[in-house]
Amino acid sequence: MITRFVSLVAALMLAATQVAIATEMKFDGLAHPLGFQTPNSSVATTIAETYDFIFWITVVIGLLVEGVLLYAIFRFRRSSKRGVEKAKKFSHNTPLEIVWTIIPVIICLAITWKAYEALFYLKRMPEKGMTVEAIAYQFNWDFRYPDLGITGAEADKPHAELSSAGVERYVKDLVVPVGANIKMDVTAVDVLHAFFVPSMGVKVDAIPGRVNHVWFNAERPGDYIGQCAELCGGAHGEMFFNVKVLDKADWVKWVNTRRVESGLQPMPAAEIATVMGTTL
Amino acid sequence: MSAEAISDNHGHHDHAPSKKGFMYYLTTTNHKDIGKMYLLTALNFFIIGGLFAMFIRAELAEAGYQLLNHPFSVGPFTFSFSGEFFNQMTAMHATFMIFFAIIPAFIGLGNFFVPIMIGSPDMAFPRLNNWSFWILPFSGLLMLLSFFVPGGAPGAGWTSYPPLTSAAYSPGPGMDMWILGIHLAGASSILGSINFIVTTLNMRAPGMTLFKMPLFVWSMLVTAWLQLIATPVLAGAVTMLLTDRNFGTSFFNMAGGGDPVLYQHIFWFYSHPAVYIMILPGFGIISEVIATFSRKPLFGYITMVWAIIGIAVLGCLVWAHHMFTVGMDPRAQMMFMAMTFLIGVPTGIKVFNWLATMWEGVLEFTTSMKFAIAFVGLFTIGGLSGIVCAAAPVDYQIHDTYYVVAHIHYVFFAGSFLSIMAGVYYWFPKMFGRLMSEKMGSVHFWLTFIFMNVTFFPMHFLGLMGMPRRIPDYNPVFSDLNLLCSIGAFGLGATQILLIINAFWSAKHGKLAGSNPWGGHTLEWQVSSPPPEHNFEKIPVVK
Repeated sequence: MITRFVSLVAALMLAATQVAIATEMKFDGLAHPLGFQTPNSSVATTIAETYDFIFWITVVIGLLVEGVLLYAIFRFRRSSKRGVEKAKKFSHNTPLEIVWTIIPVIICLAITWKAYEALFYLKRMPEKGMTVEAIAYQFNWDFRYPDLGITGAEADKPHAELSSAGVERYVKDLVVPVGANIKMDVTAVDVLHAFFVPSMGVKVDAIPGRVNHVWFNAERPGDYIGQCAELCGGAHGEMFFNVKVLDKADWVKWVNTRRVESGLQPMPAAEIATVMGTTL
Repeated sequence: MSAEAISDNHGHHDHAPSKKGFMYYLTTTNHKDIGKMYLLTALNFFIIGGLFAMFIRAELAEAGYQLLNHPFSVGPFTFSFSGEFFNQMTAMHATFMIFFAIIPAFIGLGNFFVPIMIGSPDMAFPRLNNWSFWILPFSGLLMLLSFFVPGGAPGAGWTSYPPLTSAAYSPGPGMDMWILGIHLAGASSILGSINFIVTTLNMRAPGMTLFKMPLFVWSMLVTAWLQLIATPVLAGAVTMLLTDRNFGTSFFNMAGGGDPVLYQHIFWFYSHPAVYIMILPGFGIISEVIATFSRKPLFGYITMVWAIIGIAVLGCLVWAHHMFTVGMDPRAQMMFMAMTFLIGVPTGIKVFNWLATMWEGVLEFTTSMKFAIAFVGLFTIGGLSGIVCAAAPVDYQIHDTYYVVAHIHYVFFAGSFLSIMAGVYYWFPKMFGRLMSEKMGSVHFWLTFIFMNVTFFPMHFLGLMGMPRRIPDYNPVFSDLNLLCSIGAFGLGATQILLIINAFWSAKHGKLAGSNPWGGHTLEWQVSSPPPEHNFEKIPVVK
């Protein structure tokens, strides 16, 4: 009796969970179906495709295993009609065992091939593109644009979405132009950190004494939250930054504002385009 | 009055009616007593580690800071939890669960049952057995005491990556206490593994050839080899950390020409095999339980043994899949990735063999069997999400996010914990002579099953959406799923009280078990419950 009651509660609660997680959530201004954030770079798209390929294979295998398991639970349970004497005594089936060894090996090879292609696409730095340096420290980020002679600006007001929880968060912008390859040089000055922008599909550790490289190419203007993803101390959870993707006109304006603020001459648009490795 | 009389009567049924004091347990060399003490130690640290998890989930229940940064007073004392305290909670939750709950629980079951299952009167080195046990609670205690030293417990994750754990960034003695605690627990582990290997290779009864040993014994043997090979490497890693902190060496200090990534390589060379140390014995238990309650011989015994060995060998060669984001050569990432996928093959063989064992059997759903079946169903999810994590390109997205937290809890909770529960409900009557309450066990099972999925399944989504792990506050868009996880976690924690009540109540008042309550075929069911002092009146001969 108790068991039956608990099973009923179990079924209801699992159903409630399903409803809760099937409700679409607002994410970066887009309705989001509980997967990756909507990819905003070819890097993130490649990762999402690789994930989908592996995910659907695991779903098929998973459903197969759970299906057989559930069937066995209901079909082979002990009952008044099926006594212990009904149990078969077999313990081997060599052809079957060979099949369920060979097929997983083939699946492994397929997944490896797919992941290999993605891996070398992601890890080959593009020839053309603009270098941006990200320097992590406890507990914030500095962004520098060596080819433009400028640095990122300090945040001047609390971040609207992230400060809603009663904590004022000043989040620095990493400003980048849309459509250009951004080659990040990532390092740290004190402990390990990690540069992580989910919508761009980039994560790489920031390691003192090393410079790590990662690239992306933002497809749409907008604001995309990034965060430190390697435990770095007491305020690790506060290390947000905002990737602000500007269209090209705004970008040129921003670069020259920063140059003037740094006491430099404005740069002609064509020269900025050369740095970016694209046309404006 | 009458109740007392009854409990007196029960006292007379005990095989050792004389009261056993602290000195007895301190000096006992009996593998059965030591096995029980391991299990009790594991339970205690499981409760402590569980309370830490409750703190973590309470903090994460809603966006914003719930417990942190809100000073409060109890009497004359004022407390304030800082971000560092949250980090101490995550670090010590993992440390206690891994080194002091899961591993000792398996070693406890192994200590009790491996000698009986191979027809031996005791472990090969009984005094060593006593020593390797008694190191353990004190090393746990040492780590626990680190909460009370200046600077508090280490707060750099159970992985303790430098430079965060260097003297500059973790100045207090807490970190050193953690390192020494790891040394002690590691020594206990190495001594124990030597004992298991020698016992299994030398103490088998006549006729008990290696390929007649029950699968649980095989799994403990392979686990012991893994411990023997991997644990000294961990000791090396933390020793280098210790000398970097205190004696001016620069193994991991870039200013002195060292490299923090070197630590990660050495650490994971132990800690990936450690995952298998925490799951292979579970595979063994599940094989025993499913075969017994399906009333069938285990399907594919020989391939099961080779699958365990295959997993152990491959498991030693894949450590760098924890480090895909450190900036490794893509060709190296490629190799580690492919090797990791291959582990799916022997693991898959094991799952298929369990299904085939159930096929055309007559299944009896005792609590133990329920846990075993849930293990097969849910561990499969953990295994498959492991394939997702192992793909280097995908790992760039989900590394250090809640997806990894979900994955590891489907391995450690759905894997290790459920298999330990299957083993406890299965072997409790043999250990204490009395059956555990099946009714309470069934409720315990169902609540555990529901709440663990409510707790850990949504974490997959949080990780995919980009919520990093080890943070006390998060982007408010993650709120609803986090609340769901927290509700599940509190339910899961509260449910485990049923296990404790059931175990302690049944040990005294449960139904008498008799020597073979489940109709098992392995040697432990041939002796009385609990077994006599030296297990067998005369050494059994296996046909």
